[in-house]
Amino acid sequence: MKILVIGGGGREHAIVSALKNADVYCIMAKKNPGIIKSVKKYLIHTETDADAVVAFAKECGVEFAVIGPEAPLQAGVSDALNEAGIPVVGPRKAAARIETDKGFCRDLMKKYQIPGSPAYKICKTPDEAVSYIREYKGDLAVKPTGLTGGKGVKVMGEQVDREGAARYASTLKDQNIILEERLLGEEFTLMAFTDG
Amino acid sequence: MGSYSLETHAFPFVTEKDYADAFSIMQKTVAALAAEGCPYQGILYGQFMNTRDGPKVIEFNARFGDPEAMNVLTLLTSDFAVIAEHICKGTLSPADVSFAPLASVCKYIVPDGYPEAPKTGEALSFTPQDGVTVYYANVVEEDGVLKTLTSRTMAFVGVGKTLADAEQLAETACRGVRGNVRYRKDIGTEALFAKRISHMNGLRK
Repeated sequence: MKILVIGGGGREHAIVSALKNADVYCIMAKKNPGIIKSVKKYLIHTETDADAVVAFAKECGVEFAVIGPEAPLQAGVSDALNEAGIPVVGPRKAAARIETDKGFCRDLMKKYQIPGSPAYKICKTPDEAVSYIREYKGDLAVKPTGLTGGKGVKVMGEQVDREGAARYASTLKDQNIILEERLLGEEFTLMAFTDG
Repeated sequence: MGSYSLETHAFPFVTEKDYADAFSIMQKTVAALAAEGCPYQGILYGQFMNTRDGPKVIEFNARFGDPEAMNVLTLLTSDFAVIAEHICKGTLSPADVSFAPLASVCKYIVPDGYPEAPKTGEALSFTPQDGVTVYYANVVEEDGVLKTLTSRTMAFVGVGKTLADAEQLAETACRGVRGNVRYRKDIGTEALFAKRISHMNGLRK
């Protein structure tokens, strides 16, 4: 089996290692010293360049692809590969909104009455968010709705107080802001393979 | 900068019902996406807060977590290529997926000064160790010498019969790295774990 992996971080090194009996090819932005030892061929290139990914996939003759990071998902790399007849482990752009647009995720859970969502409010401007934060009784989590590389969330009672939360929200220009009821408890993650 | 899993693939502060509820939330979300005309094929990562009212979604990610991928893929005993093929064909079955009944602790080493002012270009070296899998991340090899870049450098995954065994292996591996790097000593320790269990018990009262 010939498989293309997109991405060159620690996660992708683990993905490449887990593809035990396959011929693995990789496209990555930086040359990962672990990945290059375990793949047939690699290309150092921007991982979000859909045309380049498709061209490399065709050149290597891969049967399918596995996308590691979120940025190529948002950039439509899965869509481009699927359209070129190469199926992908990694959702198309529209389905990846579950991660890339936090407002979409909450609205979807609400529409389908899926339990497990905190109370939330999507604000279109920093001013709207600031007034909501000042009037809300209780602690909130302040998040930009888009991708932030894991660094965009500020929680009242943890990193910021009410004024700090308002100040932070006022800096989030040109994007929607989502305000969510603060959740108290212990975190855990659950990961699933799904064929849809 | 790290993650851990137990040999039971569960946590004492997450009841069977909490787990079933979280799993059901994920299934319903995948079904909702299909109903919206955007079927989801891949890895769905659910980040949950286990509250006194059960699991709540902090957020979903549309891919493996990093570092969590390194825990689960190290423990995966089935061939990921077969799983991937079945995801693509829409023929995935739970029988395709099995994991070793072992605990794992993944620790990242990072450049000194990370994340505010990471020191880049710092040489580092390590000696491979039994029971520890090494994954390279944001690191470059120049003339045979590994050097730090700006982000997390590399990960060491210890696998053992218990959390304590796995933690010890990852800890020893990180401590043995020569170079201007650091790592968190508390990931997967019994002390941190006991704190989480007691916090959850307190919330449930």
